Amino acid sequence: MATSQTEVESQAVELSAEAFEAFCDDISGMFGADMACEQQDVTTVTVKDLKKHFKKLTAVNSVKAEGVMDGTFQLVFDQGGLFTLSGVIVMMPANRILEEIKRGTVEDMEAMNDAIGETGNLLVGTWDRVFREGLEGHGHFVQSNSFIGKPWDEPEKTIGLAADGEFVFVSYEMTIGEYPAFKCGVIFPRTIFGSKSDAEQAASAQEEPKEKPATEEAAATEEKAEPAQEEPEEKPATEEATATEEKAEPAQEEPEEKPATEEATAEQKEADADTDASDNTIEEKPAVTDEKEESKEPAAGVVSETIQKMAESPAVLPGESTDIFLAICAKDIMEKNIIWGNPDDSVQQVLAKMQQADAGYTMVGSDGALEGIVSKSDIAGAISPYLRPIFAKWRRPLDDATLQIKTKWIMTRPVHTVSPDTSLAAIMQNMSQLGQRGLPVVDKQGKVQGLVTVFDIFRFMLNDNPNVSMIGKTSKAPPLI
Amino acid sequence: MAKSLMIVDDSATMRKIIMRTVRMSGLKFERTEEAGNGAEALQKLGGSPVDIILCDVNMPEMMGTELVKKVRELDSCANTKIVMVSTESSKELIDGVMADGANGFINKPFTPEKFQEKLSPLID
Ligand SMILES: [Mg+2]
Repeated sequence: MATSQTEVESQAVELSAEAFEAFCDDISGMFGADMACEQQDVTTVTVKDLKKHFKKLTAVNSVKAEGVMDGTFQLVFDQGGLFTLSGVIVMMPANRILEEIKRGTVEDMEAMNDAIGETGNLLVGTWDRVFREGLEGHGHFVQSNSFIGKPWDEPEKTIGLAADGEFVFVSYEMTIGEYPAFKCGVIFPRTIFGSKSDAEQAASAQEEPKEKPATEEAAATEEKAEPAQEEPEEKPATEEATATEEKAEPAQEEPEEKPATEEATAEQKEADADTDASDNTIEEKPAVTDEKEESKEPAAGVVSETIQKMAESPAVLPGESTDIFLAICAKDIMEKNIIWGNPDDSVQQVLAKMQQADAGYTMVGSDGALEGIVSKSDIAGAISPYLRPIFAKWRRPLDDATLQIKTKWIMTRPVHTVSPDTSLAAIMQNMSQLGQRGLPVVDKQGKVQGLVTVFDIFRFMLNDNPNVSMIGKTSKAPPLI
Repeated sequence: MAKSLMIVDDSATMRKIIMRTVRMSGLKFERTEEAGNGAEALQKLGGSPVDIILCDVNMPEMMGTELVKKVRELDSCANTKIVMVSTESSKELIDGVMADGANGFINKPFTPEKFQEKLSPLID
């Protein structure tokens, strides 16, 4: 049995790396997300130091330990970790997660309370397992409390951490998939390692002071007194990054340049509030509000550019006049045979339908009312590339699992639509501005009548044989699965 | 034969995660039920028993361990298999709940493979 305090301490520090790694493996296994973590530092810290490490919202899971480790310790995640982990767990769309990482508030967090609580629960479960296997004399770990917010000004009240205590802090950097790395760590109060058989250790004055209001106050004042010099001299690269990021965003205010994902989220929120798809119907005027709008399909860039040039330049195809762009309307060139899917359909079901019909898009909704739209590119982005036949050798169950993602998580919404009488010129301009290669045609009642894709336009402009359908065909591309 | 499943967990998120993981494991259930606590589970089971119950341990109001005992008192659930799903994995807990009538134990976090491994012997 581990007897000395130092021995237990060093074992616990070692096992904490193992536990965080095991947690990454567990979450990877459960959710098919690629996760990794790397130990940064083992230091003795005070609450003030912790505050510098975790400046934004912080999630603190208090864990009650019994056995050779006896007392309570804390598992902490920074704001990025908090939102990335719980977002991945509830399968929140990537753009929403990225948004919450940057600007998530306590309110956003409350909406995800259940997911965050379960994340902490899973984390403690993994820790308990790793310590049971690795630490002789381990009793068990139970999650005793979870706190989300800014705990450092009243650490004793919020997370049960003595304001003037000294702690062993092991910090880690964790990554999930393509999301930005985030910080997490474990805070062990020194007293937790005091083994009962170790009389001299127990007697040493390491005990956690219960309350020392005077010192606490002093610490608080001290903190207030140092507004700018908070940065320590030497800091690990990651912290610097966080610090810079924080300086860049003084409050919850919107910065000048926002990431593309934010628009998507804003739009999604809008869509949540107002599901009437016809609100987004583009009439004769080109979409003016949409200079913010980012393409969900970067590949559309080249095509869109071409269309834009065609639309802008007075160049005329043989036998045509520019008037034709105004005279021809959506209803004249749209494809009427369109595919529908349900928001709860799996990607696999949708893909099967699209391949069957050789279509590039699926309308999502019911009874002609549009809730979203899914393109082949959306699907390609959502499913594992290892599902392609050429990668068959490397295909694993987790790759197959991506086929079960629900359509509603990947569909684009709100959907930009045109009316049956929208002119070809307006359609082309909208396509190029929105970076969209297909626009559903919706009538005044909000019913979908058809779909216009760039291929329909090409076909029309090239005077191709109208009997040959080219609707959204990607037959030259390798099959997705 | 068509099988039915009930997931009992106080966290809605966890119920969804379990549901998804069961689906990913390739196991097929014709009917799936959810309950947020022991009382709700008992009420639903009284009306229509299920083949498998996946049951959380730590739940407010009625602990999963308590629910196991109660289910075992129901004649209608004589053939129901109960598998505990919990982050707690102490030997005493597992031994205790198995003695009370649970048929298996899956640790959180879990994988689809784990569900496949633990549940398929109970289904066939
Ligand atoms: Mg629970």
